[in-house]
Amino acid sequence: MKLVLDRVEKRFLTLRGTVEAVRDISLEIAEGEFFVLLGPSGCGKSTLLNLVAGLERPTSGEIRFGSRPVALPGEKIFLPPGARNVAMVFQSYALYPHLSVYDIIAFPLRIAGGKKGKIDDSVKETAALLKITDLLDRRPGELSGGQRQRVAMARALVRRPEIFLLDEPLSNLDVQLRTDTRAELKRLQRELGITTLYVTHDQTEAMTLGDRIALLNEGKIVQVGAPRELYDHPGTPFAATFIGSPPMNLLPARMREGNNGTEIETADAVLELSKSEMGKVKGGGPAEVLVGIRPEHLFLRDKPTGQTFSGLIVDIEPLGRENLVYADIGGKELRALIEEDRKVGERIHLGFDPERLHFFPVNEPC
Amino acid sequence: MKEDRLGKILTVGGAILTAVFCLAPIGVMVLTALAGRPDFLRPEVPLAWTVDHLRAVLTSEAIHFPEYLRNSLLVSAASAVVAVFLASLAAYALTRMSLPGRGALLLLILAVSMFPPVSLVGYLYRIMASIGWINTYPALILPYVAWTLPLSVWILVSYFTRIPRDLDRAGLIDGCSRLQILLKIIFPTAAPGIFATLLLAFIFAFNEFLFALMLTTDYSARTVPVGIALFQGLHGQTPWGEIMAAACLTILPVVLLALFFQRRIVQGLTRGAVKE
Amino acid sequence: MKKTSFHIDRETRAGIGFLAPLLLCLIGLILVPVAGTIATSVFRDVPYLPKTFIGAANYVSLLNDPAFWRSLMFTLLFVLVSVPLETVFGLGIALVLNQVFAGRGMLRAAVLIPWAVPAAVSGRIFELIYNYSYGAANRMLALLHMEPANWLGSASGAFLGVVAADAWKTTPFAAIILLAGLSAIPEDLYRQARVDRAGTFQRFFRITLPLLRPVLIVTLLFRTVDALRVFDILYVLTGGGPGGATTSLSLFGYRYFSAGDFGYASAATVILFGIAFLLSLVYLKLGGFSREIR
Repeated sequence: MKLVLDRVEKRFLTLRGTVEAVRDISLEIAEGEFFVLLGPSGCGKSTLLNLVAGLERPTSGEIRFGSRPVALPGEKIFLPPGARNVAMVFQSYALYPHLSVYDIIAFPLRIAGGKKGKIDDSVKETAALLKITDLLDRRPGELSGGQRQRVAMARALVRRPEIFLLDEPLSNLDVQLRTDTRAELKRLQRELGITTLYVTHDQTEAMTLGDRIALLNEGKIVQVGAPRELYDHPGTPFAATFIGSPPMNLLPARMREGNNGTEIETADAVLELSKSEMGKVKGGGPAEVLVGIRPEHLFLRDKPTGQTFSGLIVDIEPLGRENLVYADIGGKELRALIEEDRKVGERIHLGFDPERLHFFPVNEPC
Repeated sequence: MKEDRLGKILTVGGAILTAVFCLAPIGVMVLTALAGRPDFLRPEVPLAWTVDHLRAVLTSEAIHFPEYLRNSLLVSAASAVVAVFLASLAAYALTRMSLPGRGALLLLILAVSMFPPVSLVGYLYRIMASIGWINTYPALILPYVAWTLPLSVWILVSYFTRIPRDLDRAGLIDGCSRLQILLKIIFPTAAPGIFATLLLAFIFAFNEFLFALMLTTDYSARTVPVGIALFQGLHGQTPWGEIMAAACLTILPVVLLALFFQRRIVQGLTRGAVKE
Repeated sequence: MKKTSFHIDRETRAGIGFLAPLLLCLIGLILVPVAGTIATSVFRDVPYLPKTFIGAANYVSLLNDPAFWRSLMFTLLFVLVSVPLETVFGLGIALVLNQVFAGRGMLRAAVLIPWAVPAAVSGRIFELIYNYSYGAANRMLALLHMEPANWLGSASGAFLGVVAADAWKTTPFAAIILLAGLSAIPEDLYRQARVDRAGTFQRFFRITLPLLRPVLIVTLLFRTVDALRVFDILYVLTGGGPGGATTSLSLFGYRYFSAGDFGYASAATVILFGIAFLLSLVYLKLGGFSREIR
């Protein structure tokens, strides 16, 4: 089922005034697509999910499932969640504490008034799909976090929903389990081919799971695209720092024409880029810019050149495979991921591939 | 360490005093009910035990104690069930649904519970008299329901607030109506809280005095507190043995409830009063 | 998360439906009778005579009625004596119950018993305890080699007797609420205070009392409102005597209601209602309730 959001807005009235939780959001999510809503807490991503679920009413705009409008305030159309055939997995799992796993999974089918034998078949089939057949007699209180998560998925999938909504479903799991479940979730979604809307604040999750990602901030869409696109071509400094870990370095810089090409004066370094190199750089333009470079795109050089940042190491975080080095570059801190071992206090020279530079206009709102 | 010892002495002494304070009158009641004569405390009176008072209270036609007790149990149980059901509907709406003026409504409900009953019992008497309900169960059940509602709403609101709202959302997604959510999800989840509220509402109704005094006239609806209050001897002498026997039997149900469900009752009583 | 909608949607309609039975009950069975009582208070409303509007005449008569004044004074004095007494006792019991010792569970259960006993029954028990010739109170005096007292026969004895009987029945409630407040105070604060070398009393006055303040106010509010409308124990224990010395406003009103003078009785209970209402407002203000509810 295709999912369309057309200029959707949601305002809440609170005692301190109106809060615009979702502002003018238009999205088209294709049939069977795994679509991730990514953003920091309070960016409106959960509200957006609730709007699609029917747990909230949009203030204006339209939400369509396929060609059927499910929320269109202008014409007083609003389908409650039960009438939308959506399923949802909650961060807290929201398992009914008084029911057995079997009854929890059967619950939506029973509310819909299905036949007993058919319900039994569906429950068992779904339980098998999620490998929880041996848990059917237990209560949620007797399950581990991972098991609860599976039960929540089973309850959601048993109805074969048209749209599958997940609200931070992995954030209550420990790291190892999260990685495993992530992979399985991706596999399951591919197999079932259900249009999926997934909310998370974790960029790694977003990158690994999503066919496409919408990055949200302050109720607005910052950028939409495939994971690689967001990583390679962040549209704003916010996108640049939110996606990728450790985050991209951003340095205020001044660009000017030099003798052999463009000179970029930043911190206490002057970077020289030739004309051909400058051609490959995205952006460029005005004199005052933010220049960005990801820590993983910096590497060690033996001596300073026209394309290095030089400074003292102020801190090192060994990450195992590599080291995260914090270097003081003329009063600005630069993060670099390098494989070599260095010591705090040493002077280093960090080189880069000019193609990896990003330029953003200064003072651009996210 | 001197301070610790002082603390210990204070604690033990306080505990003993508390126990004596709470239980001594109960002891007087039980002993008088079982003693042959009410003046058994006098040193010169020989102590003799008897169950005559208990038997008299339970069997004597003139005393009507079993009727009073039955009226009390039925009226209190009916009021508690109705009040808690209505209160849970309201508490659900107040905690889960988007309602304007929710805080004001809670405050109004609290304010209503502070009205002195005497300021409405006279008018209530007239209403009940005009529809011929004096000395019937409904004449008591209706005011008891109204009287225990505010308390029940407050306790249930505090229980319901603690149930995660995601459960409601899950219910909505699963296709439940609001009433289905209340009956199929919230009720079972809040069962301990509902039970505590039922107990409290029952005890409050069971112990109520003024309405029962005004709105009943004889044993066909009179409740046991009024029965005991109006219990007079036939021959001038106050029949203390029988009164105390009746008192023992009266407090038996509420005291047993209080002891068995101590934790629930204390929790229910303190919810709403104490923010944790 | 707050929800708002600009028109009455299905959700709000359902919410109103859920609240309707409660509101109907409260309006029909409490607010209407109270309004009726207030309305009746400006009428002469007695048996065998036509009901006539007399304005504030009932109130004027009340203010000129020494029995009313005595009853008002008794009620206020009763509140003034019994509420602080019960709260302090209750706090004492709560402090004991908050300690760890063998048999604490049993003691907690024992404290609940007086609370569960109907006031009418406790009235009868205390009536027996105060009996001149064989009551437990005078037995105790005898053991202390003191003269027996005619407890319920004298105004001061009856007052003391009523206060003691009421304290027995209601102190446990104060104790239970205050105990919950005490156990809500984080243990770490006391550990920190010990590290800072605060003694037992300092800990009590600098940590326990300030943190208990909201709960104390709630307890005082409940107890004050309850003591203001005291009825059951007086009706049973003293019948308002001797000579009207223990007639509370509730009892005063009840007497006139049962005598059929509805106008006069209504006026008296409206005054009681007004006092209760004003006091609740004061407490609500003190406790900052309106803020908390929001």
